[in-house]
Amino acid sequence: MSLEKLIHNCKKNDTKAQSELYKLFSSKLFSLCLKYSRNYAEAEDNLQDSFVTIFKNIKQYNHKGSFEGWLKRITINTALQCYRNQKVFEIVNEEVIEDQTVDIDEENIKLDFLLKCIQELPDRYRLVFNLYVLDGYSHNEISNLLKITSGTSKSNLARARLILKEKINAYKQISNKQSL
Amino acid sequence: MNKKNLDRLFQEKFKEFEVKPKDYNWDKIQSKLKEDDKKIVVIPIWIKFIGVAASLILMLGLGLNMYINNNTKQPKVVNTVNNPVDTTNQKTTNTTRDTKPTIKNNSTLELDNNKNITNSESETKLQQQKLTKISNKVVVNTNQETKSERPKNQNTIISSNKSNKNNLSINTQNSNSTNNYASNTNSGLKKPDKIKVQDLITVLDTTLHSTVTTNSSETIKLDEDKKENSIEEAIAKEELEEIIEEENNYNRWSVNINAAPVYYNSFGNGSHIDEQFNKNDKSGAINTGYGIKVGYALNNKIKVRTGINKLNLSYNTNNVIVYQNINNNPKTLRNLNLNTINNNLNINVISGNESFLQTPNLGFVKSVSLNQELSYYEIPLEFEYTFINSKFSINLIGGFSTFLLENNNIISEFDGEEMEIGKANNINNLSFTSNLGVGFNYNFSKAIQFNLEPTFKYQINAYENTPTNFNPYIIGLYTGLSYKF
Repeated sequence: MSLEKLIHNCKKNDTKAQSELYKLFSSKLFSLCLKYSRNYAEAEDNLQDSFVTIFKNIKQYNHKGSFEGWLKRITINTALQCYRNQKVFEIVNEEVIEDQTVDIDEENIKLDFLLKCIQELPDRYRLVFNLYVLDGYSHNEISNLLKITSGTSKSNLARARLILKEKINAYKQISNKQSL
Repeated sequence: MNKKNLDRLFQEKFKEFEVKPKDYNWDKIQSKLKEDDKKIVVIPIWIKFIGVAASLILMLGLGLNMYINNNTKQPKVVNTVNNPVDTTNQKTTNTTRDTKPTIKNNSTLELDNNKNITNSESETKLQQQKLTKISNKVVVNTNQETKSERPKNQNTIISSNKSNKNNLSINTQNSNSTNNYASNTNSGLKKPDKIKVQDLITVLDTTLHSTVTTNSSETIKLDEDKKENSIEEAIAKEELEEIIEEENNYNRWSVNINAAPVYYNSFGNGSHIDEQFNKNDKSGAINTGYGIKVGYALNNKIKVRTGINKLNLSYNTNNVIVYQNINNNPKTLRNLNLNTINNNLNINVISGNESFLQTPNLGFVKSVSLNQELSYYEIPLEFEYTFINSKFSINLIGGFSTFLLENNNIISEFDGEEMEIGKANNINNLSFTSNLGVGFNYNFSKAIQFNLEPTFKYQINAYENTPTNFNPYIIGLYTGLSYKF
C-alpha cells in the first residue's frame, strides 16, 4: 500500500492502516522520543501520546510538506509538552554565556553513551540541544516553541555543549584508565 | 587523536539512530484511542453543525416570515422605515388619489407604535442568536486552549455585542421580520440552546479547575519518574492540538471587508415598469456595493460565511417621454406610482415608441431615460470550497442571499438634469438571489489575505406583477481584505 493510500485510510480511522503506519514510523519517532525524554519510560509515554495525537489529527494533514516531517513535529511537540507546564525555562539571574563551538577528541564513543549524556542533561539544556543540533531548529524557532528568548536559547545551548564535553572527557579518562 | 566539533559528532552518531519500541506500546496506543473516542468525539460533531444550523435557521426564519408577510399584505406589515410609501396602499390609492394623504398618515402613525415593539423584539432575538454563536466558540476553545479561555471569550462577547448594534440598524429597517410567527419559532429554539450553553460552562469549569490543581502539584512532580495522571495528559493534549492547528495555518474564523463595482441588468427584454416599454432600449448600469463578512472554516476545504452588504443598483429604460398632464386624469402605468408635483400639475410617462404621440393633448414633452434606482441590504449565506490552497488560493463560492429593499426611486434623466418622478410599486421588500462566484486569494501573511471575487447573482422574487421576460441579475467584482483569527 502506498503511503498516500495509507494516510487516506488512517483518515477513516481504519485500524489496520493505523497499525501499518505505526510499523512504518514507530522506530524513527521512538528515537526522537528517547532523545527528548529523561529516560526510557518517559520516551515510551511520549511515543504513545504522539501516535494518539497523530491518529486523531491526521485528517488535518493536508499533504503539504513531507508526512514524516509532520509526524516528527507532532512528536517533538508532544515531548516538549510535558515541560511546557513546568516552569523549567524561566531561570532568573542566570549568567548568559557566549555561544561557542566546542571541540572534542573523537574516539570510539558509543551511541548509547551519547544518548545517556543527552538524557541526563537538565531539561532546558536537553531540549535546546536536541532542537538546535539534532533537529535543525533555529534559535528563533526554539524561542517560539519553548517561550523563551533566543538569547536564553543560545546560552542554554552553550551550557549544554560544555556539560556534554565534560561528560565525554570524564568518560574517556575512565575508559583510558581501564585500558591501561 | 582527531579533534572534532561536538555538534558534528552528535549529528553523525544520531543520523541513523532508530530504536524499535516494544510491542506493548501499540496496544496502549489503541486503548488510548478508544478511550478518547468516547470522551472527545461526541462534542466536535455538533460544534460543526450548530454554527451552520443556527445561521440557516436565522436566514430561513427571517426569510420565511417576510415572505409570508409579503403575501398576506397586511398594511402594517409591508411598511419599511426608510420607505414610508407602502406599496399595497399605493396601489389602492392610485385610483383614488384624493384620499391618499390621509390614509398614508394613518398608516405611518400606527406603525410608529409597532416599530418600537418590533425593534425590541428583534433585538432580543438577535442576542439569542449571538448567544448560540458564542457557545459554539466556547466549544471550539475547550479543544484548543483551556488556559487562555476566559479572556478570549470575553473578547468574543464584546465583539459580538458590537456586531449586534450593527445588525440592529438593519432590523429596524426590516420591521417585517418580527411577527408572532417569528417569536414563536424563537422561543422554540431558545430552550435547547440555553441548556447547551450551560453544559459547556460546566465542561469549561472542570477543565479550568483541573489546570489549577495540576499546577500546584507540578513542583512535587518535577523529579518523579513518569506516571502522569490523566488530567495532565488531557491538558497536554489540548495544548498540543493548538500547536497542530497553528502549524497547519488553520485559523477558523475570518472577517472580511469588501467593496465592488456591481452591474445590474436583466435577462429578457421585458420591462418591470409597464408592458408598453417592452420594446424600448434598456441598459444595465454599474454601481457600487460594499460590506462585511464573517467566515467560519468547517475544515480546511469548506468555509461558511455570512455578513451584511449594501448594494446600490440601477437600470435604465431609454426613449421615454415624460410630460406634464394638465387635465388631472393621469394615464396610469401598471407598476409605477408617479409623484404629484403640485395640486394641479401631474407628470405622466409614455414610451417614445408609441404611435399616438401625435395627439394634440401634450403639454411639455421630453424624451428621456428612466433610471430605476434601487438600494438593498444583502445578507448572504455562502459556502466556499477551496481547491487550490497555497500562497495563492482559489475557491468556488456558492450560496444564496436575502435582499432587503432599502430604497426605490425612478428618476428621469435628460441632459444631465435629474428629476425624481416616482417609485416602482412592484418591487418586493424581500427577495433572494442565488449566488455563484470564484474567489482568488493572495495570502500576505498567515492572518491577512487579499480577495478578488467575481460573483454572479440571479435574483428571485424581486418583482411581482412582472412579465416573465424580466429576470434581473447582478454581477459584482468584489475586492477585499480578510483577517483570519
